Amino acid sequence: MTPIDNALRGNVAGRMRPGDSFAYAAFGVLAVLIAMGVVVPLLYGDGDVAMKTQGLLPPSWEHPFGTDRYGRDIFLRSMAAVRIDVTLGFAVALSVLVFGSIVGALSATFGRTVDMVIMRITDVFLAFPAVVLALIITASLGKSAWFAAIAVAIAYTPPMVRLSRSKALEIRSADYVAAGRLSGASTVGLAFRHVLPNAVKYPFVQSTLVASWAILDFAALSFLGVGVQPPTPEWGSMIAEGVGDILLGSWWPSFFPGSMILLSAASFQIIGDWLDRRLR
Amino acid sequence: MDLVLDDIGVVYRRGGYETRAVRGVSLHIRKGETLAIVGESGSGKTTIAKVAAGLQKATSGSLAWRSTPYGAPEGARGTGSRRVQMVFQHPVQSLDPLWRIRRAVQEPLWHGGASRREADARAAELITQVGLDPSVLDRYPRQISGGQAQRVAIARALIAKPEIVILDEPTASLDQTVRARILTLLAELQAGTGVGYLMITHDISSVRRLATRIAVMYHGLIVESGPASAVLDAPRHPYTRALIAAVPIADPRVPWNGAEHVARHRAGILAQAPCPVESSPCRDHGTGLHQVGSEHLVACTAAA
Repeated sequence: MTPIDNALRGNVAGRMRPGDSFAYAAFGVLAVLIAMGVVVPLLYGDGDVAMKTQGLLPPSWEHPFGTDRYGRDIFLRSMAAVRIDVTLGFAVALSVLVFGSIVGALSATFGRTVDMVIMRITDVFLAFPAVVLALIITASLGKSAWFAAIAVAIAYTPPMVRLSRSKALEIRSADYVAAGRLSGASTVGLAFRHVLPNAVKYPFVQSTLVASWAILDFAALSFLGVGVQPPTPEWGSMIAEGVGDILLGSWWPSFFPGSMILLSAASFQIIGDWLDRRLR
Repeated sequence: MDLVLDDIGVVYRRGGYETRAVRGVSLHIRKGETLAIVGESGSGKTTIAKVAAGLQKATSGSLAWRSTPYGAPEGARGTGSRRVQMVFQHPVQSLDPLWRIRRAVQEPLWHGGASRREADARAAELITQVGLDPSVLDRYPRQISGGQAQRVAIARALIAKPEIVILDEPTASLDQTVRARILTLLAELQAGTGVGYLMITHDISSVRRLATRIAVMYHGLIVESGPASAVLDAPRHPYTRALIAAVPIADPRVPWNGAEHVARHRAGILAQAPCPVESSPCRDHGTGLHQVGSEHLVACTAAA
């Protein structure tokens, strides 16, 4: 056997998946980010004050991520942005989880008409990519961080409705639900005792992925100028501000906020993947 | 109390097509007896089980409890009366994976207003009756075997003292030795409690062990029904004969024509069954049931 044969044998996809250690690392990264997002701005401010430092200083001990063209410390601004971006990830994930699974469960429980109406509405939303949909919604509502957050939440709700509906339908037809019915349980009783507890893990896993997508899309909206408005520190708008400087050789004003997006979104993805394997 | 199904018809409508799964089936499930419904997949036997359990509404016909075979019907029977319970084909799937066995077994008692102490005592009693150790009550379904899970399902079915228990292929997903033990257990429990069984199966050997009476279903119709011994030993309908002939005999000295059996199944047994009446109108339209013996009914013009 050649080494190549050995490398090809077995479950390649399984080996390429990040294992438990990756998941613990992802939890660690998120915990550190959140802790720094809380502590750093309290101790050192959010970098918004006129720092009287020179603009576009490269990373150094004094300014770990350098300074932007207005002389604001990028590290402090990136940490301050954690409060907006990561909180938004959690908030969107939670609201999509709660709203999406309730609507999905209603769709699965009640008759054909309710189900039809809800499914056709989700069809309309699903016809657009989430970020385009969010862009349309913010563009029509107005430029605001709140509207952008709501738009992202609306964009990710229909797939969640679909998922929880299909899982609820699947579990509703399980034999243990039939046995529960023969025991004298009502439809609502069955829904809360059997269907919901067994169905909820799938939307729950999905919600961690929604958190990562929400962070990406929210940053994208802010980058495009319809989300968080400068000078409020937010990763997407920080990247947008730094884009012009890249051409002049200053890569750091965009690079570090971008890394923050990557770190937080990837952490949520890895955690979601891990939960998926653990709960299955 | 006996459960009587009178002229039950079930029609599935989907996408403009109608499937008549059950076409005018009448059954009488008596307390203390086992009525077995045999037939191949798609014959409508599981649909009949669901109708009898109240899990599905019949398109036509009626369901009633009667105290004597020809007594007056005692009102309509809603689901949740717990007078009918069911044991399912896949034992592990019939238990909620998130529930401990104790909770699963006690579920039918909750809606009857039993106290927690009573429920615990009764669960321990039933779990012992089905031959399991009471420690099983604290486990989860994934921690027990298929045979144990089926015993748990039987305990759950019997805990609220039902009058009829529907056994939907209760041994189909179990291996041979466990299968025999479960059938023995079911027979013992029936002798002890006087419960009536409606057993749905395509396994003729388990019918021999348990059934008092047999109804043979084909394409939504009962083609033959009667006492177990009469139907099994002197089948009158060609389909029943073919069905019984297709059963492998557990004896190495008896040759089994497996190829013929499989060919028959592919073509549909009735089409291959030798009908003595070549130009029978029954082939196209079916025929009513004719009495050929004590309680022995056959839907065959030649047998009448």
